[in-house]
Amino acid sequence: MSFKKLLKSGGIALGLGVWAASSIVAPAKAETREFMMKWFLEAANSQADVKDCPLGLNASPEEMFRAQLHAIGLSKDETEYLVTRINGGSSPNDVRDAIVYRGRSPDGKPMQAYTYPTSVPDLKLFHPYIGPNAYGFNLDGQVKPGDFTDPDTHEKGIDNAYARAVGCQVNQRGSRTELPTYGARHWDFARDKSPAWLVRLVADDFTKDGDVTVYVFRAMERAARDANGSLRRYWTFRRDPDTRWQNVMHGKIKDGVMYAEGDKLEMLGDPFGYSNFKLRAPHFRGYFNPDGGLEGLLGGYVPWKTMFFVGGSGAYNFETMTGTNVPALYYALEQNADATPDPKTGKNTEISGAWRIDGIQAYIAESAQSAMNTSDKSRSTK
Amino acid sequence: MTARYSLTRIISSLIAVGVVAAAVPAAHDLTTVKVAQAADAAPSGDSAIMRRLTPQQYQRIVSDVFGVDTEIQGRFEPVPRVAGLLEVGTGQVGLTSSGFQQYYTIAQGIAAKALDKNHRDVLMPCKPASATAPDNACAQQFLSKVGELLYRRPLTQDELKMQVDLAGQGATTMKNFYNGLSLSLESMMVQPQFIYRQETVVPSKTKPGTFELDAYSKATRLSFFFWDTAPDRALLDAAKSGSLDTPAGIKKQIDRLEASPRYEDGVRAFFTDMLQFDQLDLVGKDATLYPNFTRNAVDDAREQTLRTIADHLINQNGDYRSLFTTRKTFLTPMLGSLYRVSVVSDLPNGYPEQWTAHEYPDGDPRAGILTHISFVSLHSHPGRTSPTIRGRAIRETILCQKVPDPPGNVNFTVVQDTTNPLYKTSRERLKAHATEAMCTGCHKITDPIGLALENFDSDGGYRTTENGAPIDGSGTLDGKTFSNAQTLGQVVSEMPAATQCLVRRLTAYGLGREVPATRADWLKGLQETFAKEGYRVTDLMKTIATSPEFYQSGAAS
Repeated sequence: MSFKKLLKSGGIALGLGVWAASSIVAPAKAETREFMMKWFLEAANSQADVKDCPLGLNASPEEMFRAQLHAIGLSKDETEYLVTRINGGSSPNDVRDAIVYRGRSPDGKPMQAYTYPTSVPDLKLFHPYIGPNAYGFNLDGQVKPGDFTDPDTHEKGIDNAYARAVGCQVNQRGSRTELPTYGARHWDFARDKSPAWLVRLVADDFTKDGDVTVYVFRAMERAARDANGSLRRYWTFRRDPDTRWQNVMHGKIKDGVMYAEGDKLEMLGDPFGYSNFKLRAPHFRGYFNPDGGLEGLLGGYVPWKTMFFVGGSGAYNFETMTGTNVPALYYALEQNADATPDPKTGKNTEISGAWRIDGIQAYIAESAQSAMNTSDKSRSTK
Repeated sequence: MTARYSLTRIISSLIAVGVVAAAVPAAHDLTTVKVAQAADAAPSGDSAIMRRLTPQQYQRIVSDVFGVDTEIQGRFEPVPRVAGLLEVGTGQVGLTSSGFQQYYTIAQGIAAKALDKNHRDVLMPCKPASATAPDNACAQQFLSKVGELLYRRPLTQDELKMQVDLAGQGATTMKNFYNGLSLSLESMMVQPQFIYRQETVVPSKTKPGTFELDAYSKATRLSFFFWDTAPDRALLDAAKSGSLDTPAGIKKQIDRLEASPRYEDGVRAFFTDMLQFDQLDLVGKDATLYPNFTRNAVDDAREQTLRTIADHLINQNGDYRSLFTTRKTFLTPMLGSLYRVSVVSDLPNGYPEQWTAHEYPDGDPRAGILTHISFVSLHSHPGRTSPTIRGRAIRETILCQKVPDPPGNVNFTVVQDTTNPLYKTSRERLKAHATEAMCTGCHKITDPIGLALENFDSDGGYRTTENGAPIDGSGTLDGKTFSNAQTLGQVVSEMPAATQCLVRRLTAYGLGREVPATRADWLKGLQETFAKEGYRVTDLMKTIATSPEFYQSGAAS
């Protein structure tokens, strides 16, 4: 049952979240659980047999470079000279320069491929992912050709154009248990040097059906590590009071699963990742795992260029070390964008997507004073 | 032959053949002489008690004398815990060759830093006539000033002359005044007069026929008792003036010592020793089972308990017994992640050590220092708890009761197997184990009280079940019943043995040995005064330090 159907069946009006400072603090009798996002990355549901990519997986990074270099007029020998000498950050300068400036202006002059990705020919290097399963939500309320089916809820009409754009890229493939290396690398890198992202859930009783409110905040502190190098549970984070990062979604608990929606969600992340993540029509679904952690899914529409810059900002080192061809990523996202057309160009500016949230228990403090002298057992001790 | 004259020859040989080469064999002479000297102690003005400085005391003295930025690089030889205290053990240790070498290496580093260009102008009371030649007058000024602080008494003429000569010879050989002086400083810091707290007894002026510490030894005993460091200039001056030979003079100094912020150092040092917190350096947990138990968390856990003790006993002047029931403590975010309590630091990332006052609410299972992570994790195995070890710790460290060691042929299989479905909890495993006749007796002493702490896992985390079975923390301690750790703390706090133990430990800590049976009346009197004054530890320390018994010679008794 979709979230909207759930709400309709209960005859309950959906309270779309509008930020209000007074709503951060839970009612006195409510139960609150708080988490730090251990993982926030694209929700992948790849099939081992690769039938979800009928054209096959995307070509290797070397093959994509070969194709692009050939397309801009380099000979086979010139192309091989460059491609065989690419060595991440240790590449020779001439090789590095040739790859970085493989774009071409209309008059044939070299252009920087990352700032001007369209200066590199569009060779349709990213193959379409067709599923038919992909995590996410039916954001537009319709069941259209090309929509997916959610593997957990079996709901049809799932809008996840981001998966369609990048789901055949090897480093974007994964599952609930095997994280896609693309997103995992970003988040693992970011969480040691950027303030943590936090989730607060408030309900009268999480074991019963009823209302739930989902808050997403940014912390003032980054995560701490434990003896195993994993993120430390039960750390106390201060909520960043910046009004831009106060996000709220309202919804229901049904059979142990929380569903919520909001108007918008905005977060500030690492400059080389989700530097400014703006999600329209955010949808949330989640439940608690046996350890008391949160397993959640966040969906909505995001400006496709945000998703481009997650990779594109890494430029040459990102391309050569992670294997994601930046101009090809640009074209794939642009061409799969599925919402909010630009009034002037008519081109869609947003792309639907879904991100998994793995939350570990944490405390969110409003201020030093509010957290002192308290030992509220209802908070994140489950 | 005394150690002093033996060292004269040693230092001469250092100059003759090179300092480093001569230093190690010299240690044999040093150790042999000092041990013999201690054994022959007699009430004739010779040394009667020698205690080796603890690493913390050594560090404090070095910081006091040379500046707080002087760090000690290296570790000293371990000291055995005797009568429950390392401080008593320090009176029963010699020095091996390798141990002496370590002292020498550390002394070299300290001397070099103390006399480098950045520090010498602050430390030196004079400037040499030439930086490349000896200046005996200036060297003597410096060495007599520093030497008095290091030796905790003025240097004798022979001692001073030896060091000045050494500095002069070094300056000549190395054509550098400061290098020569550094040589003397190194030599002083490996002398037994510095490394060991030597106490000298003299005939008592007030009780003819008996002996007591001389004034400088009194100053030393007072200073280490209250501050865990060597006497400062004011205390040495008081010794020199003779005021420490009068009760009024001693009281005046005790009041000054107690009023100083450094008094907290002394209180912390005592409880670190009594609670065996030195052992926390060796505590490690299975990271798979207890991932939040990191090295930093251990350091914070130790500090939590010491901070709680210091605040309760000093700042609040609280009842010692309340340490076992108090809900007030201090936490860091690191500890909060173990206790599962929200603890906010408003410092930037990378500064998680900020401390916050915290009070557990009524009904919370945490109350008293026995429920602190420091105590329960210290007395646990790396991968599981141990009610037996915890019970023994309470008996021995808090109540001063001796628990026999287990026999060598005990089969621990049942206790160690935490996966046996027949025995899900520690209580069940210990019950099965105690069916072995040879084990029953001791386990009756330790286990009931240790089981009260079973709600706290090996890392100190709170739990209500073990392997799915509920944990029962109830039991009895010497006829008093309790239902959990909270009420165990209450029972312990009400036991006369707890306060008697503190008096016994504190006197042994101050004297460097347990109070002999011949002075049992003194202990009894201290206990009565302690009770009368509401079990205030500061008052007890002052009562101990104003007692004539605190300064009477062991040899005299």
